[in-house]
Amino acid sequence: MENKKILIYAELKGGSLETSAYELLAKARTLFPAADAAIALAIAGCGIDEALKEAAVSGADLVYGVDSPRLELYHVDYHAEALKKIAETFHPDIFLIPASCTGEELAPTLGLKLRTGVAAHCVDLQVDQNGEFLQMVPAFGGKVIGEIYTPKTKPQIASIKPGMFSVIRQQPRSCKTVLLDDSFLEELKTKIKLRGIEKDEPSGVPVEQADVVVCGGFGIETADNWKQVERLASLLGGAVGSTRPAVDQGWVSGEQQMIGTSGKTVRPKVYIGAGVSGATHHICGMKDSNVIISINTDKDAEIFAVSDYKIVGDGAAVIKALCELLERRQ
Amino acid sequence: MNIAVCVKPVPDPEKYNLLEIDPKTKRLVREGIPTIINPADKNALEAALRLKELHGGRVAVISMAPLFSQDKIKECLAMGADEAYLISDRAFGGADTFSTSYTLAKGLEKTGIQFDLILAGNDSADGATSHVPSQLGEWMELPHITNITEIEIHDGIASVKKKISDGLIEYDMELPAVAGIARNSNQPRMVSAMGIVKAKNKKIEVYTQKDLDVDEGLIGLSGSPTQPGQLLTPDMSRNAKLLQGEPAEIAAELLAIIRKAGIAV
Repeated sequence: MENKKILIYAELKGGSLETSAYELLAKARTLFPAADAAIALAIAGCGIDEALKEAAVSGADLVYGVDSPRLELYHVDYHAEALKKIAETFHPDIFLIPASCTGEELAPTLGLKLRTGVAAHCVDLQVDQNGEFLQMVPAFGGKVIGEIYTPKTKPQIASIKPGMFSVIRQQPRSCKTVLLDDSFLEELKTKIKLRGIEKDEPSGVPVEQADVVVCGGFGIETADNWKQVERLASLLGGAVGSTRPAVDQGWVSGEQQMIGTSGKTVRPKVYIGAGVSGATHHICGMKDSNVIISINTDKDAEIFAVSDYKIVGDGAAVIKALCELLERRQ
Repeated sequence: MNIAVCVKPVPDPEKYNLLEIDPKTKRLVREGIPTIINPADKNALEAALRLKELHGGRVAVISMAPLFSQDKIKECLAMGADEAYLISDRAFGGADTFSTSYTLAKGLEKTGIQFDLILAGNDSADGATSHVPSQLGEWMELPHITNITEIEIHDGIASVKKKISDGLIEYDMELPAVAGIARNSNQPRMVSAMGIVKAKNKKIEVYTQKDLDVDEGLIGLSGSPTQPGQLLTPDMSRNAKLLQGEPAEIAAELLAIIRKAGIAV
């Protein structure tokens, strides 16, 4: 059997590879342990020299790049076309795409452009006993996991939420870098014009990268109590997380820190949920945390079932006590 | 302005904790879980109705769903949509997003209406792939953008804001175009008594396979490039050791747990 070819879309952040590229690379390397898979990274951006160098020592076997001013900011038509070109050059069996805000749009678009199937938001990737690539996708907010095969078409495209797999640094391999001619992007006609970008104010440690996440839910009850959640997160050097109802209450602005199937996936060393009831959607986004501590006044709260430690009581009071303890020790 | 809104009836996401898999048949048991219009699709419908209020024209709702969902489609008409199309045939069952978007594109074509804008909720609560808006755009060879929080129409252009991880990107799309509207991007209107009365006179046209000019190799489960295997319910349960005492006592215990987990505080 010929060795499998796996292509990974390596997104960029400030000229370097996003963490998701390393997550997917580590996972891809485990899929076919017996037969050495050929793993390629696909990079599409503007001024990508540094990224290409970084990718070359990432443990990939091949790096494909498209460098074009058209790719400076995200544009679905240009980015999809660049990735399509790379896929048509490399002919991967499997194509892994981070399900970021942009990858989430590119994956289905490429599915149609390449006339193949896409498994969305995979929580795991496996190879079954017959050697078939198997994608595990969440449904109904993660209450159910479904197996998905893409038996007839190639590449088998899977999108994976950033944070789903751990980064395991790989030994660099002998790696070939291929920079594709970008003239096809100049010729591409698009009916979409990019007008501008509004960036949010960065708000401390991103929730998906923090070692400690203090997450507040609807049970926090007041904006004053919410300040205690923020205070504890800061004292622990962690990040604040939120549930959908906490966003709806306006205690936290926007969905940047929202955890769950329609938000971020987190796997911190410690997750503390205060006033979080444990809707299926939320649990799907935090269940892989190392230690889960939950505080809720409702003794039957669903979140307790997935917790290592539970406290039946007022979340705000416990958090306040913990803050005071930490402050006394400093 | 002719606007189409794609909607999907889904099991109520507030009740997903009640879902189970039958241990014998391995199929999903969804008894006792009501069907609702997918929440993000209501945001899409609200966006369409607001655009109609500003620019005139009509709003058509289209859905691929079993016939029993007519009640839910009626709710869209009561909200203010002018007409509805329900694509319903066993032959379409089991379709993945590739086949679903193909079938929806064929349904839109069958209406004979020249749509300026096709909206859909960005993702459905059940499958939550967020694939359909982009794939519909690809099938129809129209510009498409998903995760849109704001949309305005002027001079044959849709100006949109798309949510990304660290902010918003603004684009202009030439019409006709397809837009995936983000959940919670607006407050969908309530159904009024007058709306319900008016909906009685609005039509729901049903399309079966024979009504649509579809390639059999692209519809339903057999026409879908992705194929489902088994369904599993992940066991996520943990010990849930109960911590008791006064807040200060619990805080001391928590601090020990947090330190043991490798946090240096």
